[in-house]
Amino acid sequence: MRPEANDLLNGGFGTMLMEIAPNLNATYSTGSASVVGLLMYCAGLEYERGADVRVKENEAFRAIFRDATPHLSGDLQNRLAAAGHGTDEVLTISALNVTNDALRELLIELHAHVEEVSDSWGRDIEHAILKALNDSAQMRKIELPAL
Amino acid sequence: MSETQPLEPALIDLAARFGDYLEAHMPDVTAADVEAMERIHGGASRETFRVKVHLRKDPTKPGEHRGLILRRDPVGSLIETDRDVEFNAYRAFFDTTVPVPEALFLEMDTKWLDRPFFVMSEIPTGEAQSPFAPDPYGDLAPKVGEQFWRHLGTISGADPHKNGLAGKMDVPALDACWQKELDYWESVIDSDQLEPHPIARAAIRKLRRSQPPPAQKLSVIHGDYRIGNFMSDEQGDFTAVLDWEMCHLGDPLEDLAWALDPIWAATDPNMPASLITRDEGIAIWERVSGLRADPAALAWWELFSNIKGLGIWISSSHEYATGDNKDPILAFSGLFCTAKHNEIVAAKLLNSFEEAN
Repeated sequence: MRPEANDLLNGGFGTMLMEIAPNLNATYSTGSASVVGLLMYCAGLEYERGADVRVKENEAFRAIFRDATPHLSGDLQNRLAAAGHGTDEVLTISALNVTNDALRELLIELHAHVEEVSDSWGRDIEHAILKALNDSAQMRKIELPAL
Repeated sequence: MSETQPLEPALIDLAARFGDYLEAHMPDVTAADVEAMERIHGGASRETFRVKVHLRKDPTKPGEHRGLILRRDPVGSLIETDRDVEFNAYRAFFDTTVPVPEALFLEMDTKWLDRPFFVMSEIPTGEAQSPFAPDPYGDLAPKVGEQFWRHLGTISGADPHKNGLAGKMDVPALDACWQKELDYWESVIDSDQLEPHPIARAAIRKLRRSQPPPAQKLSVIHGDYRIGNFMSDEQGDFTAVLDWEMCHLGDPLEDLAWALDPIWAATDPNMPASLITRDEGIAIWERVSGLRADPAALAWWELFSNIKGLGIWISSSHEYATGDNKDPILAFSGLFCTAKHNEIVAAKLLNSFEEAN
């Protein structure tokens, strides 16, 4: 598809902000049109990077689970072992979101667990989790265009 | 808005009913004609309308033209608060050195405008600026900045028992202020999250592990004191502190930390609200309030502020996705601000861990 969806959305963003919003009479509508333009910009950004961000996050979380598994036991170990060896085979955003949500829930559980562990492996896993979360936040940040 | 500008068709009925309300509630007024009404952005938690009315006491004589602001409960809300909270806060600070509009009517009966609402005077001069504008005040930034922190110091230093708010709001114990707020915002995230939030959860656990000291005093907390929620005129003079809908009583460091949040600094995190430096602002706040911004306690409240922000943004995403309110600002807050606060919190957690280990 050419132009791609992000090109269409970015074009719509410019039209909303530069052409439509300034020519509306109602103050509230002008503001809303501008925000809709910004949402189109955000949607274009997400269209381009959405799958990439989720696949990278999922793999980073799985790697942490694989590293943590040998130090754990019981149910948490079993669930982490299973999740750590998963793969993303369907790359639609909806499918990736299902996996990403499940991995995030498991990451929260593991993070809370290792915060209570005083051994060095616990610190190492906690450090890896915090770095992965920081990487995730960086990948998902939204830089607004200069207006 | 010109007084002769016709009403938007969608607002004709609302304007007529509002005129009826004013006639019924202003004893000396025999006729209240709404000459102009337009919806404006005044926070996504209430529908806000700027209204021009012509009030006449004697039908044979010219009356008074007056500007009013109507704040009506929406179908869905970014922030779930009682509308009387904001109304009472305006009343408490009216005629003090903190500039606020005069609160006129609080109406709970839905027969008038379908939903509860309140009415206040329009502030005729000044405008608010966007938190995301790169340099909204230019050369006026030092002047506006001094007032920004001074007014917050005045609010923090006020005695809620003397201004009446202690009789109208929950009064937490000094050592329970932090827990009340953290419990509330965690519950908002619990109920409204559309996806798991590992960064917010990690921060909440950290806040619970490292509790702050008791509040120095019980203060009035504006609840959303930041750029965008005050107006100043072309000379850089403050004309109003607005949007008190999250007002409550608590630890004064809560408001200070919220005002310092980097999300309100478009370009430089050390210049909150894009005004003056963080250290200059804190110094003014301390001098005016008579309180101390203990660095460790303030750090706790700053991380809490990040979580409070995430609670608001997560809630706005939820409202947009599942509720009746499709105001695009809800979606934008949910997207942009969540990403921004996640970025701030994740970096803070990582840095804190690496410094300690």
